[in-house]
Amino acid sequence: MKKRSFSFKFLEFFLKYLVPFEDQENLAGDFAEMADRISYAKGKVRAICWYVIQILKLLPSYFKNYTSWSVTMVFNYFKIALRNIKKYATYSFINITGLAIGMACVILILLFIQDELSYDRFHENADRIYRVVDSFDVSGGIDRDFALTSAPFAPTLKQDFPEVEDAVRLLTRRHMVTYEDKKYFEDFLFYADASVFNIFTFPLVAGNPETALVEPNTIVISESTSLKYFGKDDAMNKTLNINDDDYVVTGIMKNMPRNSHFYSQIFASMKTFEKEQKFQELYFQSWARHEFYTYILLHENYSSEDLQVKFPAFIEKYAAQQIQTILGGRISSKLQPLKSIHLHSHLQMEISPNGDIKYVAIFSVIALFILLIACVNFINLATARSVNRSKEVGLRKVVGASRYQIIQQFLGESLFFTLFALILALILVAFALPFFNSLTGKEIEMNYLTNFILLGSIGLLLLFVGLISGSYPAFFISRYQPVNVLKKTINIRSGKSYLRKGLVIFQFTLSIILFIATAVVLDQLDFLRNRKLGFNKEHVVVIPIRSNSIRKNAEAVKAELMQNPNIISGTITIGVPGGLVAGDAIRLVTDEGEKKLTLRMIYTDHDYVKTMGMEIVEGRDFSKNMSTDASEAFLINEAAVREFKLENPLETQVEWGGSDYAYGIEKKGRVIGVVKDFQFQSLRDAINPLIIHVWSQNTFVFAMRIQPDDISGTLAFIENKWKDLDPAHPFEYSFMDETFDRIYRSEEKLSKIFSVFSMLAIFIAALGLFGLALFMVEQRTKEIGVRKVLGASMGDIFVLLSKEFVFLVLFANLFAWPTAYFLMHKWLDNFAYRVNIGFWIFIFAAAVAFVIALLTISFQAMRAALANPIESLRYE
Amino acid sequence: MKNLTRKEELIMLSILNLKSNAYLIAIVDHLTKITGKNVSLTSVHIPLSRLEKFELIKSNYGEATAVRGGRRKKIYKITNLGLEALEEHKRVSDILWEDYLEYLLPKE
Repeated sequence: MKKRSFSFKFLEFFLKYLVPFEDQENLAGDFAEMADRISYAKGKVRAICWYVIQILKLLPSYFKNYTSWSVTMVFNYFKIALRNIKKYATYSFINITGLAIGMACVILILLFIQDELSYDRFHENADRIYRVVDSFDVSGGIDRDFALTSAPFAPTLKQDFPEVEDAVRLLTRRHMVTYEDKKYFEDFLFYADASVFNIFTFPLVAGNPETALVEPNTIVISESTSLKYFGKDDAMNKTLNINDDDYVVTGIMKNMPRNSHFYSQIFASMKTFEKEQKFQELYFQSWARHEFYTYILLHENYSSEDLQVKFPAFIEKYAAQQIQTILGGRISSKLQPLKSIHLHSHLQMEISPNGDIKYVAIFSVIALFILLIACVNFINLATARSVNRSKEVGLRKVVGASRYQIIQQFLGESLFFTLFALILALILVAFALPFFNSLTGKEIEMNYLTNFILLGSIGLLLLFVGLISGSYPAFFISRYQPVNVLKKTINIRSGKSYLRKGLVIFQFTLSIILFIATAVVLDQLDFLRNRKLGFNKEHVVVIPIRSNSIRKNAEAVKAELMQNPNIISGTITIGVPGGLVAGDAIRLVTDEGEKKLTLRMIYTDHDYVKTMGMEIVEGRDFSKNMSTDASEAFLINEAAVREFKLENPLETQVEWGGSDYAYGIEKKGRVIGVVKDFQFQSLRDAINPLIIHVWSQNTFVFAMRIQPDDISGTLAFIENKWKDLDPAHPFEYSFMDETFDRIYRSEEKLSKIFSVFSMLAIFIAALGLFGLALFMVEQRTKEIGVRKVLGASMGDIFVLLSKEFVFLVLFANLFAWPTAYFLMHKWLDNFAYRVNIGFWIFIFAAAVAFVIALLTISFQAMRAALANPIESLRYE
Repeated sequence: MKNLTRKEELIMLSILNLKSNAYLIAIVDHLTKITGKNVSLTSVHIPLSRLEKFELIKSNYGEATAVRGGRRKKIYKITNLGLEALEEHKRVSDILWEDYLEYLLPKE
């Protein structure tokens, strides 16, 4: 026998697909004979060419055949799918609802992630913009990494390094802004160098970006601010009064997009500050005073790493000396890419709270969980129902359907289901979006038509869900041998129930994990709220001090307000716990020698400790009777005693340089008391060393402890008095407990999201279980009838039907417990003070899963148990 | 009764000529030989499948041969219906051809 060459074998391979089966053999033979002949007469190449031409000639008839049959079959599949949806309405409902909820969750999370990732991308030069941030290495407990730098950084960097194309400083301020009779307190006011419009992309609708902020006392305002102050009039060249100083509007910019890590309504020129002699010394020549956000624009061909390497030398050259004398330590600078600030930067003194990549990850995992649970529902119900479809498949195979076609049909059917669910999901999303926005604190909008990434991912989602949930049933059902199916010789139900059981366990494992996570988050939140804070946060009214005259006459103001007997005590301070705390350098002198430290500092008056309800554990509080307390007394907290190993804290001498050490010692004295540790920052952090002293220059709030009864009367009194004292500013107040609780906002958000999503997950899983129970009862109708006839009690039947599933659900706990414990343990590691994950949470989760499973099944089980056996046996 | 085309007539008659070896390539060869023109595979294959569809011919598989890569031949045979069709065709043809014979015979 002659050996056939490879090229012919390869060509014959195509024949298999192009030619109907019955023609394949003889046609291949004819072609081979012909080709041989040609190859003998004219050479092998000609023979191959001839063969290829023959195959090409076969193509038209192939396509004609193929499409006409496909179209017919697709219509048939479609018809059968619709009939099945109608015939098994309950199952279809369960499948579609589950999938729709799952997909809606995924779409919402997608929108969320897309929004989080879009931060700061709108700047044309986003890739080249970096923020300079400083890290302190000073003895003392102050947090190390700051988003701030000092003022000379920006101009000096630009001058020293050719890599730096441009640099800008931002200084955030909250000020009263007035125009004629319009007065607003502006939270989003920034002082900025003129280069701000060169670096960032904030398009101006009026004015020249090059020159807008060059002159002192010029401002650029946003369109909405312009509308607020000037109405429809042209704002250009009009004058706004900011903090008793006049500014000319030299530009109007488009409103800033919300997805920016800082939000500005007004940019005022930095020159306004810079020109003043006192600020020159205080800010613009000091390398130690960290108050400015510095952004640089790198030249295109330079990398940030190369620049960063040169920073230590740069700091050594300019800043090190000054920082050593003033702060008693060293700093190092780093560059942060603009695009990573929102999700990855969690430094001290961020402009506004940033997002967190961790939350993005957590949300994604939850969405995936829910989607998987919904997919499992689909798989389970489809395989369970395969008994009903087996006859159809058998018949299709008998009349000539190939396995491939059956797979195609079932995959197509699941895609059809998924498409249906997707439409429902999109409707759900439209309704849920406002709720989701309030949950996450975002302003996401749905623009299906313009959001190509979203459209693309929805398409992928459709394919993914359709194929994942359809693939197992498709491959499983298509395997049936028609003979067995039609003769009913195989017991389909027994075959694949392992997989079904496994999937039920999987579903409930995920649900229980989410449930436990929710419980732990709630528990931790509760723990944080009820932790001993070290002060009494109830019934303290906090009023921001806006006017300099109040600041100057603080004591008189206090005396005025204290006339009301309902006001127990009041204090004027930099900030209440949970609010502003300063940080500054001091020198401690003990028996062992001198220590230069930088630590947290609270400026206040004599009544701080009393008003906040704190406790003095050693020594005494400030007292007005001691005339020296205002000038040479300090309180420290227990953490400071521990951290600096002060054996006799009351004999420690303290020196403080005031606003700047370089200009001499402002205050010198000793520690008069130790205050019990109290929580002045977020409860994520451990309590840092702190020093409190009487100093009235940097005070920003007036806090009063009031009697719990007649709060509204007391508030009215305060408001009246305050309006007399400070008529220029609107009266604002807040309660300290509310402000303090805001610290947990991100945890609260997380706990809400966990609650909602874990409820959804459990709901979908229960829905699936309901479907399975329904199916099982249907399958065993006859068995139940026979059992009842033979004398089984209702209880027996109930137990018979529910025990299997209940067992599965309990079994799921075995997997869920360790996983949940591990995950939640990791999460709790973020907190300095954390709750122990109690065993009761696990028991509780198991109990809830058990009860839900039992309730779901019992409805079906009861129906079956109650049914008259005659009904169930007569149907044959 | 289906009317045969010239091509179909040629193919069916070839099948009769070739007897038990009437498969595609043999028919092509046979026709090429008698007509002296090139006959392509396609021009035979398509009428063949048409004839088979109208049940004028039928086919079964013959033996495998080495030259065909071990594949069997599809051997065609004329069915009774096919014979009837041929006879009808011949009858009509013969009537039509009659004058031609007269034309050829020398006139007396």
